[in-house]
Amino acid sequence: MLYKRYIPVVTLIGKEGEITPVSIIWEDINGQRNYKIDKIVDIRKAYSQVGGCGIRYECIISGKKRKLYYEKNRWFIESLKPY
Amino acid sequence: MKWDRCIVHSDLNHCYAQIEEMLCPDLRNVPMAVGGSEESRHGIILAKNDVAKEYGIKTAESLREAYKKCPKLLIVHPHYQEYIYYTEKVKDIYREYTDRVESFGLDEAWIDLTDSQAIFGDPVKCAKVIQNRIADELGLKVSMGISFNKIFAKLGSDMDKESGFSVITKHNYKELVYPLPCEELLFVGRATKEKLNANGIYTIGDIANCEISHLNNLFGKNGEMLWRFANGYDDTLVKHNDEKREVKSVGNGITAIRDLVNFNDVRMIFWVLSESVAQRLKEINKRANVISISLRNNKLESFTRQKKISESTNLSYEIMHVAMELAYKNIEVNKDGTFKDKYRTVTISASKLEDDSDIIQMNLFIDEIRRRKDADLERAFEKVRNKYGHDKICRLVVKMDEQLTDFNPKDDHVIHPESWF
Repeated sequence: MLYKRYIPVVTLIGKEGEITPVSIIWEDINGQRNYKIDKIVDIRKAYSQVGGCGIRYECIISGKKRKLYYEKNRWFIESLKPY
Repeated sequence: MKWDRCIVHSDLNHCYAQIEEMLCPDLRNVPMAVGGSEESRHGIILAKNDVAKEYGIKTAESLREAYKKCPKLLIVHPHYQEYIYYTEKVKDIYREYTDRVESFGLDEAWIDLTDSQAIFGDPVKCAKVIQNRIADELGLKVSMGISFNKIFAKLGSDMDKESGFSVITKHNYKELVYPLPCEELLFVGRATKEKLNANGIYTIGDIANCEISHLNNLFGKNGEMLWRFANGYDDTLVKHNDEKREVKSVGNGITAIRDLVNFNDVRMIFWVLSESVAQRLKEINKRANVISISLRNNKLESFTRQKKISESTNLSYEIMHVAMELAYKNIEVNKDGTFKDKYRTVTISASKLEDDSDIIQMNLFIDEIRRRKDADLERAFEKVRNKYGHDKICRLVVKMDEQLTDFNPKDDHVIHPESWF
């Protein structure tokens, strides 16, 4: 089961205006942690099975594949944990 | 195969409900409908999902009726901003393929792929690509009709509910279109249908095979239009992206929180509506020549009456005056001053618009200085509203029943489906 979670994302905006997520900030009961995005595998417009649509960045974070979406003006991730 | 003309009509299936489902997929599993709130009695179903459809819930029926059919029904309040955003995203995809995309309301559009064939090849394949892209990128389903004119394209988009894709060519249109009942054709509403049926015309094929003169006798110049539509002779162009639809009328309406039973109630509501209509007219720099009112009673029967005025106007005072005149003339009253029918929904609209220039033909018999003063007063009124908020200044008459008049039609105004003309 996947959940929709809006998260803060550190983003690099390039010279041509292209947007690249650099790291995500994950908050839970243990506090805040910064996870570096190791690699972006794929970028395309897509809808998400957890609801919503936008630009989908398929990323490798800590060796795992995660889908990160840029929806209108904010980021959400298809998360395995509800909160 | 190269088409001489290739028009696609694309329709976002039950648009509001589908966008809500896309944003929150859990809604797909429960009977859900988008509708106004019950308390304020704007309570009608605007769109429903497939589960709700199985319960027999229909668009435009009241929430009360809907709850009777399905007590578990989940009502979602409309989020118009989201609908506008996502339908625009859909149209952006169309616009990647052609410069001729003509919107017909929020959820429908005609796409002219005739000249795109040189770049994208077979238009049927191209339309399929567009449909799949919308499904992949936005998670939305559109049904498409492809044909050689706008009318048949529109028919086609409703034809195959399963796949949401139909192609009507010059070779097969007689088999596909002619057996359809006549009310499927654009502009054949209830009244036209009854008239056609009374004359033994039941299908679109019957209309096509009719003598034009016979249809003209029945419907005037619209008869010929129907005949052309049915035969596929319609050759209206899909509007260019840059072409703005000119505003033809400005109107506001409200379903009141309680029934309107006498002229006082109507007067209060009319003031709020005419102020909004007047302000919107001023914003687009227009004046209206015709004012019309429309009332619907609590049995959902409605009537519309209009009047041409001698001096075009955008003053709420004058719009109000005409609206009340129409109301007095057309509403039947009992001896004690109450209405015979109890009215629920009222609308005021202004049409036959002309530019609001400084040059006006003055009328000897109208006090122009007074008109100027009224205009200045209204401008001051609107300045206060724009600066401090809508409810900061109002006419005393609307304070007689604050609950009844507690709405702001101008800012709450939503986009309704457009008409063809």
